[in-house]
Amino acid sequence: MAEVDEIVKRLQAQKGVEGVIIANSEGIAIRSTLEDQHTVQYVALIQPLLVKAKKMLQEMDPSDDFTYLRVRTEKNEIIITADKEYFMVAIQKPAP
Amino acid sequence: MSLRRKKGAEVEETLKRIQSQKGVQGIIIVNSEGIPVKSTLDNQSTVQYSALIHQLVMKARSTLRDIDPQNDLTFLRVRSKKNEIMIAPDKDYFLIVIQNPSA
Repeated sequence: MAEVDEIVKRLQAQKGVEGVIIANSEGIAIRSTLEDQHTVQYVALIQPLLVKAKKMLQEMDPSDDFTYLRVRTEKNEIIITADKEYFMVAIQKPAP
Repeated sequence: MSLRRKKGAEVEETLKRIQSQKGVQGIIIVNSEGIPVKSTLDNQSTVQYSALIHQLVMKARSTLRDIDPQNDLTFLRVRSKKNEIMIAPDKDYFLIVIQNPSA
């Protein structure tokens, strides 16, 4: 457990990182550096997007595996990684 | 050259340039309705990628708008074990490039 906290702390300390969220496959956030309201919002909205991306890869090639999804927006960048049981969302200021 | 021919040539130039990059496996240009208008891949793959990616882009856009109505999607990258799909959306089209990043 402490290891997870270490990692979250390390990520959050990176320059430009605005938030880090770890949620389980049921959409429950188990770690977050954002306030509750935002955390819940991000998780609820990003999980379906993640599922869609995974499904897309599955359909194109069932033997391929999802690694990450990077959503670049005008204001920031959202990086989503996932494994079988959890997914992690990191929000950072876009690279200059 | 007429403006249309000039623009067409520019598009071809750009596609050729991207296609010649190491690791690039395919390029598809899709219009706002999800219909592919240009592709370097075979028909079946083109149609499949276009439909799936169109849906993903729509979902990504609406997700972003829900989080922040004033924000908008500028780029999307989907990385898998085997390759990377990069999607650059625009008003009327979006460009899809599939590459093997470790090539």
